[in-house]
Parts: sequence; structure tokens; C-alpha cells
Amino acid sequence: MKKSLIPPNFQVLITPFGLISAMAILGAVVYNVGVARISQQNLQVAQTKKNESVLAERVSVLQEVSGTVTTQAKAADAAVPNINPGLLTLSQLRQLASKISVTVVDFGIGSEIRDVGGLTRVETTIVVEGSFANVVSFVSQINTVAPIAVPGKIRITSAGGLSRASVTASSYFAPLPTKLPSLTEPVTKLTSAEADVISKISSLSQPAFLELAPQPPAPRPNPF
Amino acid sequence: MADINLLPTEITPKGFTVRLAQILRNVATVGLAVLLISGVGMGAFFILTSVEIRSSTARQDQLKTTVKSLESTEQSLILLKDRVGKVKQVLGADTVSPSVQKAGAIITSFPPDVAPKEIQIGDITKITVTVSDTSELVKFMSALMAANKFKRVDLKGFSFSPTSGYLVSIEMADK
Repeated sequence: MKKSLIPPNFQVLITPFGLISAMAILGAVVYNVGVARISQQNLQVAQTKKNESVLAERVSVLQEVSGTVTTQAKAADAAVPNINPGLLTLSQLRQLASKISVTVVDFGIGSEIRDVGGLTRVETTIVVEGSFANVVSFVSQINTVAPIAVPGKIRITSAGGLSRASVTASSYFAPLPTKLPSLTEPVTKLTSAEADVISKISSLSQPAFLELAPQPPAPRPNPF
Repeated sequence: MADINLLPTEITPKGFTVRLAQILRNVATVGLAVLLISGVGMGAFFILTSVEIRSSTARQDQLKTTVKSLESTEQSLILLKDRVGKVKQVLGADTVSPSVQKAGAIITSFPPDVAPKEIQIGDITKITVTVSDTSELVKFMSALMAANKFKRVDLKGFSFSPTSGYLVSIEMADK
């Protein structure tokens, strides 16, 4: 019988050692690949769930406010519009004067002044005359009109039973937001502080606009 | 019958080595079983999570369609939030309106014989009035004190003219 070069004790251990080594290598490969894929899959699941919950929250918020938000946005846009509100403010103050029975004797609109936080300011000056009580009433109601008129300087003088008030009020405007948040960004509900501001601006006297109905072309009379 | 080992004793593995080989074979078998179970577990995990991701993506698509249909509401909400922020800024800059309300409350509480001459309202409110006699002057000052609208009330001027009576100038401020 030919004698093997490998000792018999070693020969009997080769197969089990080989099996265990193969198992260890396979295990290491499976572990490395598997753990990496599992953590990747977990991240994907978490991200998907997060996106879904953000979208669900967004839909819920939008459905909740859909009945009121358009009117509120119009009132808010009237309070701080996106165009120079000088003429609108003047018109509103004139209407207020007429309602309170004071006479507008002078008025003026200043130039645009850059303010903080992307706001631009326009100063409107109005001088009214009337009884002392009416003039005081006019002055105290200046901040009840939209666009918001913030009184700056007020001077009331009285002589011979007639009172005169000179008021300088600032109204503000700012450009409109230009983009919507991306679908993965959350849209938050209105806070109670924001709701307070909305109820304040909803109570302001809104400017009345006359809308002209479109007219069909009519035959022009012959001028000759 | 007795066991007969025909192998020469020098090529027969020792008992300890045989036992070790057996143990190692068992370990390998257990390892293979663990590996197989882990593999099946991972496969199941992948299948389950893939199904979950697919169904979540389908739900997201549905939600995106709903968000698209509510786009005008979303635009209004974004506009509203932007304007509310601006209104807060504007109202924060309004320091005179509270003084107007306070001064209005004081002015309307003047006794009938107190004639206002000049009123300036700003960060400091200045009121100049003419009062015909001392009893009305006392009533006016009492009304002013009772109103308690401003933190500081300064008497800035006090004069008397036999034709118009007392001329009183007062400055009021909250600082």
C-alpha cells in the first residue's frame, strides 16, 4: 500500500476545516452584503413613509382650510398688497371721511420708501375738517381700513368751533411669493397667532372695486 | 464477530482527531443551517419591505394627485401665510395707534367747558386746552388722572388770560 504524504490525523480534518472555511467566507459575504442592503432598504422604507406622512399631512391641512383660505388670502392681500397702495389708501381714507361726515380739505401721496423685511412704504397725508368729535372719530378709525394705514404724525387743531386734523399714515406693499414648497416639504397649519392676525385683517374695511362687464363691439355712429 | 482493522496502525487517525473532525462537521452543518435561515429571513425581509415601499409609493401617487387638485388652495395658503407675516411686521411698526386710542379715550372724557386747542399724537402725545374757570380745570385734571392711560403725564405749560381763561399744555407718554 502506497503511503500518503499527508499525515492521517491531518487528512481526516481537511474536509471539516474546508467546510467551515467555506461557510465562514460565505457567511461574511452574506453578512456584509445583507447588512448593507437591509440598512439601505430600511432607509428607503423610512424615507417613503416620511414622504407619505408629509403628503397626507399636506392634504389634510389643505382640505381643512380649503373653505376659508381664498377669502382670507384676499383680505390679507388687501391689507398688504403687492402694488403701491397709495391711491387705494387715499380712496379708503376719503370714504372713511365721508362716512364720518368730515370734509377732506387736502391730501397728498409721498414717494416709495424701502423698509425692512422686503416691505416698501408709502406715506399718505390727509387733512380733514369738521366737528371736534367727528375729527377725533376719524383719527381713531384710520387703522380700520385696508390697505393697513399706520398713523405716523397726527395733529388736531380747533378754532372757532371747527376742528382740523392733519394725518400722515404709512401703507405698505411687498412682492408676492413666487414658488410653492416642494412636494416633500411639509405645509403647516395656521398657528393661533396667525389666526388672530387673520381675524384682525378680516375685520378691516375692504376697498370696493367696480368691475366693468366686457361689452361686445357696437356699431360706431358716423360723425359726418 | 470481532472488529478487525486491516489498516496499518500508523495510517489510522487517532481517536481525538476523529472526534474533532466530527465536531467540526457538526459545526459546519449548524452554520449552514443558520446561513440558510438567515438567507431566507433576509429574502422575506426584502420581499416584505419591497411590497411596503411599492404600496406606499402608490399611496403617495394618489396623495400627489389630491395635492395637485388642491393647488389653488395651496397657493392661497402660501400667499396668506406670507401676507400674515408681512402684516405682523407692519402692525409691529405701528406705535402710534395705541396712543391714538388712549388719547381718544381721554379727549372724549373732557368736561364740556374744556375746549381743545391743539392735539399732537405720536410717540409723545401733546394736548393743549383752554379751560374757562378753576372748577372746570379741577374736573379736567381729575378726569385726566382718573383715565390713567399713560405712564407719564407732564404738565408742560400753564397760563391764564382774563379773556379765554386757563391755557393748559400737557405731554403724555408711555416711556
